[in-house]
Formats: sequence, C-alpha cells, structure tokens
Amino acid sequence: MNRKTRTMLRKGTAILSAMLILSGCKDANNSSEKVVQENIQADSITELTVMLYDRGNIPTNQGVINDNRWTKYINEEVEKLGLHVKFIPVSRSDEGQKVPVMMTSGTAADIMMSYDIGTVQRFHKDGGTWELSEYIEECGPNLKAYIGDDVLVKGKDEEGNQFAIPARRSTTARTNAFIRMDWLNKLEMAVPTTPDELYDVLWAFKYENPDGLQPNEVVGLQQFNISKEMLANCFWQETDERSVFINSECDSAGALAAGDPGYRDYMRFRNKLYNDGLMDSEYFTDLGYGQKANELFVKGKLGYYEYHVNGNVDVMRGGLLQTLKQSIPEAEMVSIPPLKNIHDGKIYNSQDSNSAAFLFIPKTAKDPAACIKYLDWLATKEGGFTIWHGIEGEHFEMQGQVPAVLDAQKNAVEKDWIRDDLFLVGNGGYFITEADYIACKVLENAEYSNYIQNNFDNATMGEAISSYGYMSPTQAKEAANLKKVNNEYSVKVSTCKTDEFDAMFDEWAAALEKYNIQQIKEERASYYDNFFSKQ
Amino acid sequence: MMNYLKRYYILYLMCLPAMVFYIIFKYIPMYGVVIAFKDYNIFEGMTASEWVGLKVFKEVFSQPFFWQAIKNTLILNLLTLLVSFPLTILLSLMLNEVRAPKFKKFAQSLLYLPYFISWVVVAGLVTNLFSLNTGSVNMLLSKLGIGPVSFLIEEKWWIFTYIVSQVWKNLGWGTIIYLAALAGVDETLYEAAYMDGATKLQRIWHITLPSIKNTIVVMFILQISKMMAIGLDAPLLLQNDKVINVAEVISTYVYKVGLVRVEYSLATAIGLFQAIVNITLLFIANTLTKAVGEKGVF
Amino acid sequence: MKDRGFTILNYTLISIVVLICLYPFLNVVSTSFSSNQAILAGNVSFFPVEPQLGAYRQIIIKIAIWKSMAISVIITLGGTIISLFITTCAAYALSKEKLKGREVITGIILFTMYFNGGIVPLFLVVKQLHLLDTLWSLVLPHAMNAFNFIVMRTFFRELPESLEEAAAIDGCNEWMLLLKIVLPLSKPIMVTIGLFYAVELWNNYFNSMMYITNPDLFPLQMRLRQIIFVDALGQNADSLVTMVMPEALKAATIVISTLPILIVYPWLQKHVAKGVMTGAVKG
Repeated sequence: MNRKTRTMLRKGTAILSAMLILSGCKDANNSSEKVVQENIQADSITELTVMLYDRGNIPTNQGVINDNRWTKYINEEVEKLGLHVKFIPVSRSDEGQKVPVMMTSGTAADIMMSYDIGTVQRFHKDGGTWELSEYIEECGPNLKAYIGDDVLVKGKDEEGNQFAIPARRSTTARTNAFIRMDWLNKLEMAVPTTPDELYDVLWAFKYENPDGLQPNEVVGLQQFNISKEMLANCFWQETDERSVFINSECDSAGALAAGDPGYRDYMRFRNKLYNDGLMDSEYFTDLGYGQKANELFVKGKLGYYEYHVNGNVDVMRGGLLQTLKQSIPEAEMVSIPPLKNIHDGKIYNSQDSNSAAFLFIPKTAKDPAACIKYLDWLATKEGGFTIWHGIEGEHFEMQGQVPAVLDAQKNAVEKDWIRDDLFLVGNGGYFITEADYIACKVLENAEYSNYIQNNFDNATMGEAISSYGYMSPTQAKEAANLKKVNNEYSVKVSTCKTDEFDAMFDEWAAALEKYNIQQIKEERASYYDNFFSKQ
Repeated sequence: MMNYLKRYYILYLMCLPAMVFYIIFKYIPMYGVVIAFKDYNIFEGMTASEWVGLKVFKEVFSQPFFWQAIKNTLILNLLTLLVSFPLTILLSLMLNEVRAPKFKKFAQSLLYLPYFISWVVVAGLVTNLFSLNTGSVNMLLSKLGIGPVSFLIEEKWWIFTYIVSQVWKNLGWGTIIYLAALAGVDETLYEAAYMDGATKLQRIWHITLPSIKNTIVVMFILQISKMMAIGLDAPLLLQNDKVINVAEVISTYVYKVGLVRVEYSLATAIGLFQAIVNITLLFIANTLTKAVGEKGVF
Repeated sequence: MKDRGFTILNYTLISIVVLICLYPFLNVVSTSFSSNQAILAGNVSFFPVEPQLGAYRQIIIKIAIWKSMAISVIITLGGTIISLFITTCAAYALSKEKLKGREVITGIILFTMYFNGGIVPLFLVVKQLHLLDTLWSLVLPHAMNAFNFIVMRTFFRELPESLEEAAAIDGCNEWMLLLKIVLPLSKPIMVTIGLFYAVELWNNYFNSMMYITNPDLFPLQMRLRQIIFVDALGQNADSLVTMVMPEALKAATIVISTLPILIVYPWLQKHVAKGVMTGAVKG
C-alpha cells in the first residue's frame, strides 16, 4: 500500500468515525431525556406530543425550536394540569409532504395540524383520527368558548363527526382595493364607486397620466388572485347566502362560468379592460405572490391593485407604500371601499373563512382527553394571551382594552418568531373580538395607523360574503380538473378578442359541464339545505 | 465450474456491496408499487387495503388532461434532446481543444454555475428577460427592427423559451462526462495523424469522436429511456395559464391532482405507467444499438 | 496556419457561452448584496444596487448555519467515499465481459432506475433499520446511483485488455489489478463520478426532510430552505426579525450553498488531466 492510499484510508476512517460519533451523540441526548421522562411519569403526568412548525427563524440566543423560553413557560403552566408537552418540529416548508408520511408511518405527534381540510377529512374517513365531540364537551370549555360554534362546525363532516378543530381566525378581512389617490386628486376625479366609474379612472390613469408617464409604462389594474377578485362581486345577480354557497369556492374549483349568470358580465368587463390596454398584457405570467405587481407598485406605475388586506403598508409584505414613498414622496396608494353591485347598489365584501388551520388527533395518540385539555389551556389568558402578547410591562402595556406593543424589535426577537406556531387554536393572535385585533394592529405602526384603520374598515364594510371551505364528494374528486379548466379559460376569455368573447365563454361553461359541475351544484345545495343552514 | 469460481470469486465479491444495497433499499421497498392496484387507505396499510385491480389505471386513462400531459411531456423532452445533445458534445469538443490550462479551468468552472442555481431563480430571470413589454430581449429586438416576440405567452414560442432555458441551465454540466472520456484518449494517435497531415477538424472527426463513440451511444440510450419522465420544477415555474395546453406535463399534472387530496394510488399508478414506457424505450434503443454493432447499455 | 484561425474561433465561441452562463449567477450575487428597494423595483441586473450586507449578516450570525455546514461537509465527504467504493467495485467487476451472470446483475441494477416503490416504503425500511434521525439515513438509502454506475462501467470497458494480460503474467489477482493499475489510470472518471455523488449529497434536502427531526442534524440545504421558504400567504416569517427582503436572503443562500463547490472544483480539475492513457500500454 503506498503512501497516498494510506493517507486516503486515514482520512476516510476519520470521516466515518466522525459520522459514527455524531450519530452517537443523538443517542446520548435521548437517554438523558428518557431519565427525565421516567421521573415525570412517576408522578402520573401525562406526556403528549404536539406538532410545531419550524420556520428556521430562531434568533440567536433564544435556544432551539423545541426548547426555549416559551416551551419552558408552557410546561411550567401545564404541569399544574398534570400534563407535559414535547414539541415535534416539522419544517414549515415541507409540511405538505411530511404530514402524510408521519401519518402513514405512525410517527405522527398527538396533536397535528394542517391547512388542507380535504386531507384531514380523508384521514378521519379512513379511520386514522379520533372523533372529538365528546372530549370537547368534557374537557374543553374554554376551547369551545374561544373558537365558537360557528367555527367549530367547519370541522364537522356530513354525519356530524367532529374530525378536526379549526383554529379561529382573528379577522376575516381579506382583500383591499388600493388606488393612487394622488393621481385621482391631480386629475380632479372622484373616488370610483362602480365598475364604469373605475373604467373611466383607469383610462385617465393610463392615457392622461398626471405624472407624465407614457401609456405603455402604466398598468391600470392588477388583481391578486383568480376567484378572490373583488370586482366579481359587483356583477353577481344572486347574492343570497344559499346561492353564494352553491356557486362559490375559493381555490378555483368553483362553478364560475356555470354559476351565477352575472359572472359572464364580469368577465366581459375584464375582457374590455384587457383589450383597451388597461391591464398588463402579460398579467398571467406573474410567478405567484404578486411579485411582478409589487414591482409595478413600488416603481409607481400601478394605478389600481386588488391585494391582501393592509398590503400597502404591512411590513411583513415588504412595506410597499413605504418603499414607493422613498422615490415618490407624494405618492399615496390607499384603499377605497369596494365597488357597488351594479344590480342593487350594495357593497358585497368577500371575507376569508373564519377558520384557519385544522387541528386533529391521530389514533396513535393514547390520551385524546389530555390533548383537548392542552388545547383548552391554550385558549385561556395564561395560555394563549401570554404566549401571543407576552408579559405585561415587558412586551406590552394595556391602553384601555388593547395591548400596545412596547418595543417591536425586542418583541420580534423574544417572542414573535414562535408565537403564531405555539398558539394553535387561533390564527393571527389571541383576540376575543375582531375589533380587538384591528385596534391592536393599528397601534403596531404609529406612522401609518390611519392607513391601517382605513384598510380594515374598507375590508370589512358592506355585506359580508363568506368563504366556506366545503367540498362536496364529487367536487373533491374533480377539483383538480375544475381548477385547470377555470384557470385556463379565465385567461382565455379575458385575453381573447372582444367579438370572440361569448363563444369562448360558452366553451368554458361546456368544459365545466364535462366535469359534472351540475352534480356538484346539486350536492352543495343538498349540504346547505340539510346541514349547513341548520347550524 | 469450480475452477471458474476460484479464478473469478473476487469479481463476484466486488459486486456484493452493491447487491446488498439494492436489495435493502430498492427491492424491499418495491412492494409499494402494489398500491397502484389498491384503494389505498394509509391506516389499513398497503397489504390490507382493498385490491381494485386496474381501476386506478382506468380512471387515470379516462382523463383527457392526462393524455395531454403525456403528449406535452414527449414533445418537450424530444425537442430538448435534439437541441441539447449535439450542443453538449460540440461544447465538450471545443473545450477539449483548448490548450491553455488556466483558461480551460476557468471556463469550466463558470460553465457549471447555471446548474447550481435553482429553477426558482432561473425561471424568474427568464420571465423577466423574455417579457413582452419590459424584457431585455424584446427591447433589443425592437431596436434591431424585428418586432417584439411573445416568448412566454404564445404556445410555440413558449416551447422555444423552455428549451432555451433547459440548455442554458444544463449545457455546461453535461460536458463533464464527455470531457472525462476525452481525457482518456491516447495522445499518440493525434501525433500520428498530425504527422500524416490531417487538419484539426479532420483529427476531431476521425480520431476524437470515434474514441468517445461508446460514451456518446450510452448517453444517448439513457436519455431516450427518460423520455416519459420530466422534472417538476422547470415546467411548473415556467408555465402560465395562457400556454397551459402545451406546458402541462406529467409531473405538473400529478402535482396538481395530488394537491387536492393525498392520492398515493394515483401518483403510483402514473409512476408505474411512466416506468414501463421508459424501460420499454430502453430495451428498444439498446437492441437497435447492438444490432448496428455497437456495445449497448447491457 | 489554419489551426490558428480555428483556435481563435474556438476561444471566442467558448467565451461567449461562458458569459451567457455567467449572467444568472452574477444576477444572484448582485441581488444578495442589494437593498430592498432596488430588488423590489427590479433594478438589479449585473451589479449590486445600493449595496448592503444585511442578508449575509443575517445568515452568518446563526450558529445553526455553521453547525449545518459542518454536517453537510461530513456527509458529503463520507457519503462520497462510501458511494465511490460501492460503485467502483461493481462497475469494475461488471465491465468484464467474461464474467458469467454479468447481464443479470447489471439488469438488477438497471431495473431500479425505472421502478421504485415510493417514498413511504423506503421510509419504513429506514425506520426498521433504526436509521431515522441519524446521519446514516442521509447517506445510505441513496448510496449508489445506477446512472453513475453505467457511466463508470462504460469507462472501465474502454480499458485495453492487454492491461489485464500483462497483470496476469505478473501474478496479480483482480483486486490488486484494480487497486494498483486500473485506479491510477482512472483518475478522470473517479473524480467525475465522485463529483456527481458529492454534488448530489451537498445539494440534497429531501432526505433530511424525510428522515431527520432533530434540528441539530440538519444539513445546510435544509436550513437554507427554511430561510427562503415563502408560505402560501406570501409571507416569510424571517423578515420579522430584520428588514431584509426575502429576495436578498434567497440570493445569499444560493451563493453560500454554491460557494464550496465552486472552490473545490478547480482543485479537483488537475486530476482530470489529459494524456493519462499515454504509454499505459507499451508497444
């Protein structure tokens, strides 16, 4: 064996040894934890495991995802209830793949969560999760009160089984319509309240731009997401709850072209906007999350933008208005009230579902009652409120009813990074009412608090159109196909020539028929009549 | 027989680690394909779930969108192969002729860079560059008098853009194998040819290429045998709803169908279909190759 | 004379291709050093605009990143050695035409290139072997790659038979032949296949996503992916902590994860030198 080979062998052995040692370290940790576990069990404390999203965003000095100040706090408190919680981190970026594998291989935590109601319902139908109604009645009074029956019902299937506990969203505000108010003022035009008025405003923005921009630089209108479009609401003919329930569904698996007859008028309006150059000619290539639209916004080239509520000043969405103002100080991209319906003049405001993530308990959990006890504790002041808002005097001070943030940076480093993921039963924070949420949000950003208040006012005014999150059996089966058809034709009818519009729209409706849209509508109607309306 | 074993037992021993690996990590898990024939309930497990025979396949084959995805997959793969395969060899030959070692090292390192950049970034760059109104490529074309081209929103042009992106990303990396093969060519052959008065191009054609013929053939067969498979990232990130009729491929179709529900049976059935087609292509390509006297893959 | 023209053309064409390949990387590097505003406004192309180091600072201060990098280095080196060993032995043995049963064994290997049982059965096997949450789960389940095997075997096939005959006369057995004669001659292919395995190991995050729950064992890619992931609401939780936009962060993670490979490769290059076969067979 020559020298070279010997050196290589030595290096190789060193590396392999390192691997062995590292793998051994893990076992060492395991055994010390085992000792602690045994000690606890000696006092008859029930241990349960809880899934925890790992976003890889732990600030330095805060510990690790499943062992830090807040996990310690939680265990201190729940020990009084005879519980001990072990957190199982699941990488947020991979939960879609990881959760099914965990369920399939029996390595799931006792409390699991997912945003996908179809999957969670399937788990229950296949016999893999506990039915929770009794446990909630017995062990979860705070939980029931916090989440509310109107949200809890979303976790029930057609037979009334509580297959999951939906987390309650603190606010259902979903979309804002933002407009360049400074352009409007310079043009001395009034804030548009109907689609036709909007058309005139967009025309002026593009072809008579008050900042002197050329028409090919300006994009009049951009919308964030198909089927979440606010403008569509202006054209509905059937606006009662039952019709909306049957026809609509967020996520493009809705009836759309085979639903409300007014949808055709809406698409015709969009077709006009597109052909008259008032939309970006390549709007459908935006890679998602509105990247291109945000670029236009920040460069000051966008006139009207349907986007997430509070999206113009929200720091977590990039602080778009703040950035715009850095180059154009007098620019004002502010929200306006949703436009009025052309038939009855009312404002119909699409809201997010009042439920967010779905919590479920796999059959591999030995003590569902203990799990519910934990969730119940999370719904209390010592639980959720403290985890989310922090310690009074340290992280916030009460201004009247509202907890006002003392130092945003400090909060971000000490608790904000984990609070959403620990507080499972609520989405957006621990708030008893939506008004509390908005009041707290307004106080978060002093400089722009007027904007924030305005945004939430506009996002919640008028007649609320809810999101239901219900999928009928046939709909679940055909959802992928329906979505494909809707996505494809939505673009086709918007971008085709005006005289081809009606034929193309009919084609769309026919394509949906092929995938049993009529049967789906009947199933949804039956669910509404027999179950939903009776809640 | 015993003599034979005594002489060659070492060779069989050499195959042992690989065989152990394949049995444990590839063949034992292979029972998973049965869920393509079952109504898979993940809690009952793979063995206990109900057997439904070809029902899943029938359901898959009855979807028009499925066949559209197959067609698109084949078209995109074939066109990409026809463009990138010769270009890769050409670039390898060009690099091989570079005498200055520093330039060669430098060029190679830089050529590999696109391979390491994820499709998320590349797709973002492509969308920007080829945009109709604001993309650099179209602005350049306008200056040259050729009108703007709908690279991303017209079906035929989208295919072009897709192929360009693939070549851009993979060309450099693809030269590694050929360069390694070229490094093994006997230098004395060149000297002899030079003595005989052969030009550079003649030397390349008559010596270099034939020396790596086997490598080229094997690579080509392997590529052909992947025609029915396609990555997820590139088509998913480059496609948009206007060109979806040519841009929906098997991988994106399975991804979208699987998003709605955890449909392991469906995904497995489609995967099985792809595997059968691909392995058939492998056999055909390999047999044809041996028929013309070349050494095939097996 | 003609050769000179050819050389100039060659160098020019290659340079053009290199520049085209360079652009996306330049763009990524520039983005990683640019400010929020410039990125959002789409102003970054070749050079950083309003340079800032925030993205890198945010990544570098996390101790976890360094721990993960160490893990990645260990599994890449260790895994490459293991993979090279298994593959080389098999490729060499199966390149011998005289070996009976050669086609069957090769077929067994090739078959797995097309058919596999899915992620769940493999997960269960790894679980049964008690490899979950260990570094072995990142290295063993994909230790051998059939494609690499074929390429290596093709190379070994090209070796002249006279080598073997010469060795047989000298009284070597197959193992010594492989070690002492064939391997030194096979540097280009060993480095190449080694590089393939190494890059795959370095870039892979899927395995750690599946098999590792203990964050202490996360390789680099897993950590970086967490940083750049933007959830369905278009929010990146990490921008809570600093004001650095996800775009600069994304770009910085790509640069950090690519840099080691770019540094290592030129060093490996010198082993893929030409003329290695010259004179290997005398007369």
